[in-house]
Amino acid sequence: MVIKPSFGRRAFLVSNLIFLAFISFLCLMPIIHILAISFSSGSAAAAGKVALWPVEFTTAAYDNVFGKPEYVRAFGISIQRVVVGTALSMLLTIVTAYPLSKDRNTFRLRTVYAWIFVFTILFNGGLIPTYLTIKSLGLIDSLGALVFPMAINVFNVILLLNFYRNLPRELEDASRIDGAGHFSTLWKIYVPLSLPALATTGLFTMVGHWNSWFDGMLYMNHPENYPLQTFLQTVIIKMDFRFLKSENVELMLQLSDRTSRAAQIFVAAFPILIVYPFLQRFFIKGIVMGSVKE
Amino acid sequence: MNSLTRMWKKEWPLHLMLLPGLAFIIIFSYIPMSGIMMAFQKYVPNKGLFGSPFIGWRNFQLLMDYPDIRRVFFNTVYIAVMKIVAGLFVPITIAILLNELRREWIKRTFQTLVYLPHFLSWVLLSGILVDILSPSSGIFNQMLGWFGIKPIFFLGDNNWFPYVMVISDVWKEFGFGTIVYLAALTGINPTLYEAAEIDGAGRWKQTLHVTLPGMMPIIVLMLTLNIGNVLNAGFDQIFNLYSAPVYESADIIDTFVYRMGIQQAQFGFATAVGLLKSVVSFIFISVSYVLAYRLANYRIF
Amino acid sequence: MKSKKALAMISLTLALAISGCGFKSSSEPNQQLGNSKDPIQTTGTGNSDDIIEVSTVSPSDPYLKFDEGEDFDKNSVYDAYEQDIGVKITNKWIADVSQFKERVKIAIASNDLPDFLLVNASQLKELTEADMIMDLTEIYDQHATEETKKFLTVDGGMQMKTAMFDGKMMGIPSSYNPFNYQFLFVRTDWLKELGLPEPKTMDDLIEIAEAFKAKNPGGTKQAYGISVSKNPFSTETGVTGLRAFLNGYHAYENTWMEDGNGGLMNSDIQPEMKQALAALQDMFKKGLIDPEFAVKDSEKAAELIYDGSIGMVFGASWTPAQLAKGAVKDGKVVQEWGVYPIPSVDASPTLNQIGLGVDEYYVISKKAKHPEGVIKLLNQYIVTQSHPTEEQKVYEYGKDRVEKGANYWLLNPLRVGRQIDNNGEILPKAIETKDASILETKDQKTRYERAMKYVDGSDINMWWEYLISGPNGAVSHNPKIQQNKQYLQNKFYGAPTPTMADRQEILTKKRDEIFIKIIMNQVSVDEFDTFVEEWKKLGGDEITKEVNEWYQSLQ
Repeated sequence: MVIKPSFGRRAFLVSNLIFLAFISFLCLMPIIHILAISFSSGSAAAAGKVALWPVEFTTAAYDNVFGKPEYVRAFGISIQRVVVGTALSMLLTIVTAYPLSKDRNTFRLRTVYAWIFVFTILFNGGLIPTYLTIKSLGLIDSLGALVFPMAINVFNVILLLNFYRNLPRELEDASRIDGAGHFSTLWKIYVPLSLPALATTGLFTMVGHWNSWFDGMLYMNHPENYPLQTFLQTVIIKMDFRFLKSENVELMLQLSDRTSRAAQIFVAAFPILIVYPFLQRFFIKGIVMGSVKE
Repeated sequence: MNSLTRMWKKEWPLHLMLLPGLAFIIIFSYIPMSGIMMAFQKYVPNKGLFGSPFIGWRNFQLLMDYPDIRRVFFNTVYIAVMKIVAGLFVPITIAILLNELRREWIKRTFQTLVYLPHFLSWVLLSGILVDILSPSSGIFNQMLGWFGIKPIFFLGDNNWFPYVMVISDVWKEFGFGTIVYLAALTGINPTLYEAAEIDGAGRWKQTLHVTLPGMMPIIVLMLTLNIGNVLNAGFDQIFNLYSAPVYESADIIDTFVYRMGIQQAQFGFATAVGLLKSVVSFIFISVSYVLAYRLANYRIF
Repeated sequence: MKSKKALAMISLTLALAISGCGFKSSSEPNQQLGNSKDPIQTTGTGNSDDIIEVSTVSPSDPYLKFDEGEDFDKNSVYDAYEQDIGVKITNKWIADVSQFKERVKIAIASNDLPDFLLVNASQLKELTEADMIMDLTEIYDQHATEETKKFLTVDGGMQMKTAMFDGKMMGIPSSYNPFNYQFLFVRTDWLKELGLPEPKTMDDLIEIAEAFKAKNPGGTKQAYGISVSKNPFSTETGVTGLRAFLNGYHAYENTWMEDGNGGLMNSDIQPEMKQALAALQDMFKKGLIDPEFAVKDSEKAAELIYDGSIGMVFGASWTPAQLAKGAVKDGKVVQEWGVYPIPSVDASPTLNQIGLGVDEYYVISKKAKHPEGVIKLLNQYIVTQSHPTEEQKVYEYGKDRVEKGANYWLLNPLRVGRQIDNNGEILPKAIETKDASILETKDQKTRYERAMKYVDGSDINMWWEYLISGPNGAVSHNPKIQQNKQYLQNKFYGAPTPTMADRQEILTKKRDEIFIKIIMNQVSVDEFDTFVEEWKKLGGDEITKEVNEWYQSLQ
């Protein structure tokens, strides 16, 4: 680190920085565009005049979004499902990935189990049987319908078990010699050392919960139980223009209003956007090795 | 018998740990899987799954009889394979490049920015893409104009449409994809780099001989799982962006099933297509699982 | 020991997660574990006031605003039904209006019907074949009042006929007025500025389009003649479509029409279609159509209208509501539009293609205990809509019985509309003479009030209603079209035939692909002839046969 980097190295670092800055800029543009639309007047947005800066600045769209009580309620339900769903799912993922990360000498049936889990990524029974199952369990209109079917995410399990495998065997052996059982090894050694992996799978779980809307529509018998994304679908979805009755005209005017759509999308995505920078602190390099040295 | 009891004695906590997870997948995945029967039925709601008449392969026949079916399959696989390849290569590269950034806050900022597009819906992005790619006023064609290239109707031209799908999809998802590789990078032993440096290896050599091998298990895993998507070319994206002039290159299995669904109220057809896709995924994933095990002696899961 | 502790922790967390999972639902939890018996209970079989209970499912709507303390389970409209006719309404579930149809599909597939619900034509057929719904012939005959029977057969019984299977009435048509025409909307300020005639013929239309393009009165970067969007032939494209243009050439989009030999034929493959496509290709070549129209949806295409690049568009009568986004700005009308009947290519007038005015039906589950309750709801709805007493205004406005924009009428669980409306006769006259006394229906009153806000200047944003309902507005053309029978009604109705169900998608896709390529001048107009051959081969002939068999069976 103290050694002065060579010219080639410096040239690389500078061009790398520029390249990544450019890429990031490309990703930021549409967000700015949507943000600009959300702060523009309805007519300017409808005429496609807004690029990266608001035209005829107004916060009307946000007033409209926040003025809806449903919005706040749906927001609360989404938070609930993310918190409960992520907690449950992470717990199950951590515990399920552990035995599956063992080799066949330690756990002879592991491969059979692994395939039993993987099979569920590939095959599913479809909408109706799943709905009937949820219904017969009495989960309709409850948070359980949103949380339980997503409780085990096999992809996350596989990801985590691959990270577990990378942990040095010595640590585990040492802990076993100390007389620790599987559970305490998992808790004391595996979990603290796989923080980056846990942050990753945790993020995937949260994003999955936050973004899914179809289950809310399917399993909630009362719109007041819709989570946020389901509620937003009710606002964004396109109308059936064939049978527009006179009463619906006003509704159409509101629905096709791009500015509030933009505002809604932005407000809805914001909470989940800020989760990632927060989780980044868990992406610590050398966490595993550090503990071995000690 | 004796060895079995010994095994049980040693391994029971591991079985126990799997129990809750198994319970969930049995209830929420395996029990509903009985619905796969619909693929072979003319499903009648009040007779239910176990009372509806079986009609053999007729639902599959309907798919195979579709005059454009070969085209549709080709489009699906063509777009999906390109997405799988690019969707693997780009995030890995970006993750490695991000890892080379020295200032932590710059790195984190860039990471966050590239992750943003994942949260935009295709409904919304389709409007933006129509603008950006417009041959008359789109910024992209204007930039091409600086190099003397004539405007291209990207979204209305069969020669370009599949690539536009791949590139825009990669653009949307690569940032989210890098997360898992960044996590993999944290697991690489720093002493390996030190050792390589002592051996006189430059950064490039270190990337090649330390970084990539260190990430390999996750790369192989991601590749295997993505290969299962060989028949998923991305419904939401294509549905929002395709149009009559590009049906030839853009119509994929899922858009076709969707349009059939409007005419047909039957669930059997959609289930049959879903089953077909599952079987194909299953074959691909199994083959790559076996290959990884045979060639690299590595069990992906 | 330690592992036990961990285990305990896990089970505790699980238990917490599970127990924390109930929402406080505002209604009784209607979970019927396992069997799918309907939750209908006769609260008083004989002993109390003979109140019968019927269950349904309802869409909730962002425009429905409940009074304090009311909701879908308890509200003044439901109470009124219960008091007035002794029918208690319950909801098995409520879904947002945008997701209602999806939920209905699932309810049908999982064999979980309420006593009555609204379904579409395909579902009506599916439910009939699966024997899940009741034959209403007798119940309707017995319990429907004369007024109801008359209300639903004003059109000569056409809509009623579509609900019949083998002579049995399987559903109550959710009727509405089928005479919804398309019109041509043109920037009249530009016509004046450029000294152009009003569009009476297709030649006029093309002349105007050429002038709009060449002179660019909007002063934008690039002007075009007429606005078109990516699915111009779809019935779902209400504005920026081309079906009206086809009609001007006496061609019609996927309509079954008489072939002159007592049979039916499909309009998509008739020679008039080829001429219309040739004309469109010609316009495209002249640059009168945005070369990128094929990738722009309605909303995207309309940007060019709002910003003043295009001043002509075909659309349904409600098009002005769309145009208003560009036409009214800061309380001022900045674009002036006129409405014209679809011009014709020759001396014979354009026939507007229209549907039947019914595509949805109320059906009664076979398991329903009190089907007569549903018919009573229907009777009562028609009474309270047609000639409400002061008391009965509660059905319309809720307990305060005054209009306050709460849309309480949405709470009526079974609604049918007038099969013929006379908005065209009444509204333009009423608005012109400011005479509210001649208004007959609720719809007319609402529209009149909106239009008057524009007329008296209190709300210029209501400009669009004036252009729909005012003198020279869209509906003012209706009486003439009606009198001269300048419309063509699809002769085929009901659920799709078997080949249609399997093959219609293919035919529609082929058609759109080839028609749009012809318009975009990517292939020659003669490709149309190849399409006709292919259409026949790919199932078109088979469908024609089935449609004709169906048609003969009606005679």
